[in-house]
Amino acid sequence: MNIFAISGFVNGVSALIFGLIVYLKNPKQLTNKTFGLMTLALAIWAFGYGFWLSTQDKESALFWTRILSIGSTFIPIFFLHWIFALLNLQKKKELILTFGYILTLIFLSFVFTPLYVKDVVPQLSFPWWPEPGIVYNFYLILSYLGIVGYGGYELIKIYRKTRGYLREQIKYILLAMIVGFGGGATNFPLWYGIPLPPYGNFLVFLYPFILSYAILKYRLMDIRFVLGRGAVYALSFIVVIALAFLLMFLSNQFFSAVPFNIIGPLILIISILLFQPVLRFFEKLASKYFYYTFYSYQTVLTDLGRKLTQVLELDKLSSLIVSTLMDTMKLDRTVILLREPGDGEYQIQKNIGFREENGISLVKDNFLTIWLEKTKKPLVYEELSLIIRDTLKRGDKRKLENLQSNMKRIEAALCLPLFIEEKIVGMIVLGNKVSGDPYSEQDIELLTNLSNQASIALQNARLYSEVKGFSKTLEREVEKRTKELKDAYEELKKLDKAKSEFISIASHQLRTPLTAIKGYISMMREKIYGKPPEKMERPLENIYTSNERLIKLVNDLLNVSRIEAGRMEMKLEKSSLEEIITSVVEELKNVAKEKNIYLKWEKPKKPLPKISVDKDKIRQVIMNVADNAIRYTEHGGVIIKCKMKNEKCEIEVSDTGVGLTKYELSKMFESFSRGAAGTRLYTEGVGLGLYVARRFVEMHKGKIWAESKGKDKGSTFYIELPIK
Amino acid sequence: MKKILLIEDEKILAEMYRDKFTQAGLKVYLAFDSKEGLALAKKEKPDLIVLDILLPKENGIVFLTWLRKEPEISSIPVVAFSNYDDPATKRQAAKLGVKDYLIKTSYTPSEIVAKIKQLLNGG
Repeated sequence: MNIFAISGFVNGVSALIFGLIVYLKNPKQLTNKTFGLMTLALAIWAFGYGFWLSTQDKESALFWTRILSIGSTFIPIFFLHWIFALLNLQKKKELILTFGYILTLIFLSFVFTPLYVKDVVPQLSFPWWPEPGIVYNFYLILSYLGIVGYGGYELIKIYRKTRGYLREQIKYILLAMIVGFGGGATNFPLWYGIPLPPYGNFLVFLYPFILSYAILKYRLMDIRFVLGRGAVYALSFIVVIALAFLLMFLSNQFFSAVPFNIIGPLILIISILLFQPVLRFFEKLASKYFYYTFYSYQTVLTDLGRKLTQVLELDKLSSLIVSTLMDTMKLDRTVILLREPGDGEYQIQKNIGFREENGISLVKDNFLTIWLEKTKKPLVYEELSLIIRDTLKRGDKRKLENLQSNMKRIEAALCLPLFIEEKIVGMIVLGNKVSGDPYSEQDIELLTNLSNQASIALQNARLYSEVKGFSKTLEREVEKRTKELKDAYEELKKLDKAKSEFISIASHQLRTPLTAIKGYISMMREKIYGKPPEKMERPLENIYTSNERLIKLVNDLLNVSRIEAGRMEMKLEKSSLEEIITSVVEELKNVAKEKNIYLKWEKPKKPLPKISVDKDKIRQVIMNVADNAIRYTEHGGVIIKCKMKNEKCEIEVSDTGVGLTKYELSKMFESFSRGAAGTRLYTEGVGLGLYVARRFVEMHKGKIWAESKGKDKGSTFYIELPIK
Repeated sequence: MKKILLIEDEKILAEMYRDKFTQAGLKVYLAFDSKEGLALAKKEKPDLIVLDILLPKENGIVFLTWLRKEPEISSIPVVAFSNYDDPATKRQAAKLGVKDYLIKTSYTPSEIVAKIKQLLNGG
């Protein structure tokens, strides 16, 4: 059996297999039915071919050539019918189709007559090769040039008009036509005695394969890529085989002594080892000259993947993605939609080319999102009709149809989902290529890879911007709060100032009449207005003393309010405690004398060092304590002492007065408290004196306390001030 | 006879101090607000100004700033004499060169006269 016979059987098997696959895929569809018929005719031809070339017997050779002719007569009209079905032309071109069928039937009626196959004769190495009868010439011209040619013409016409998937499909069909009809046609020269062996027949098995690929696949590979790869493999194969033959020839010439069963495997090994480098060489060559554009485009998209990891700003990143996609794939429009993390609402992140409301319209309902989440694949507009055809659920079908018409309306060609952990975080909607080419298998693969990287990058960018936004909000919030606090503080300060001003002014107002009383009484007592009657001296003195009490009360109130407001100011200067005490004793001398008690000031033997104090305040302290002691003592008197003790000055004021209970001792120095005795003996005070004294002493980091052995046993007050 | 300018808006107090100062042998001029005080100071060129601080309209501190801008009278010694006992005001007055800041209620008129005489004698 020669290799041409084998090629016939291979073609037949190929035709049967692919024909059956396509037919069974959808037996009701006219395209599939006609495709089945065409491949059946092809199979009849191919098997007839195989049987004819494998027989030595003239009679059976003639029989098989006639069987073969049945197939070949039907091929053109079934081909045309299939093309019309595919291009949806069978209604429009009914007349042509009918005419074609009639013509075919006419030719068919001649198949078993010598007018079709005249005879079989030896040709080249073939024992029997048919000779054409008269009708055969007409068949060749009318069927092949007429019917097949017309099919090709319609294909090219539609190819020029159409865009997208069908366009790519037509490219494949045209390729299959070249391979199939071109390859098959290499059989004809020998019919007419032209000595060309039918090498093209080896390619015919590709014809049903390519066609079924073009019909069945949703997405076709970029044909440039396929042809390029094919050419590279074919060339590499031819070169390696040629080299093997060369080696065989050389070994026969120079190493004829070495038996073939050693040389043969050696050459085989060398050839196998050579195949990879040769393939790489051609691949390089091809990528340089043939499908260069394809590779550069791949490189750009791979580069983009790398760049994505380097950009953190969401806006920049989305612009980068959109512009790179549009520039490299030459797209008319692109939009990136991102979902809000919370409610999953889509927002347009970056849009070029789509009308604003169109860009987002695809995701108005949840269907597309759910669909993409389910299929985990990009959705291509071109494939939607096929998907719709294969979808059984009526609801889905209707929604897919809506989606299809919506995509058509806004001219969106591809929806690329962006996934993070199986969840859609957004999508990139691409428009059409400006060239009109559809998205190829490679495109989709690249885009899918890119979308994986893009979704991570976009997610990162969004997190980044969220964090940034958050810190900005935080900053703003802090600023706002700070301002509020500041305002509140300013308000408080104002209030505080107002309060302290109020106290200052209130005490000023209280003091004015007190000054007038004090002034006039003192002047009356000084006899400036003449000598007053003697019996008025005592009342005048009483008025004066009471007035002094009021003045002191106002002073204390002023002091207390300043202390409470923290506004008491310290005016520290080196002062002599002895001088201060002396001046106090000087002032109180008369008060004690009037009560008939003593007031003794036991100065220390060694003078005390000057210490840094607010003189007025310390004087006030000693004054208050001593004044108190005099006031609460009816018999005996008051002794003031002062001494150094442990780096501190200690002033001691002891009296022989009413004494203090434990409770009184504990409450003594609190504001507005007063010893129980206070009510009995000295009603004018309101207990501010000791409180002021305590606070003044504390302002000097000193201590003030009182001791008493109990009721009527007198008490001793201690004031301790640090030297430094 | 030494001339004293007393700027005091409280009529009762002004009268009282005038009586006392006059009795103590001083020539007393009375003014009831800062403007009047300034005009009188320019006119009479007193030896000492006794200045109340809380005055109607412009207060004593304003008077002091005015005074400091008038070369012919800016060197006249001033004693602040007020019941307005506010630390910040006291500091301001000190800055503007008052010789003393006396709280009225703390002194009898005689004590004030003693202080004034002390100052007039270059104390």
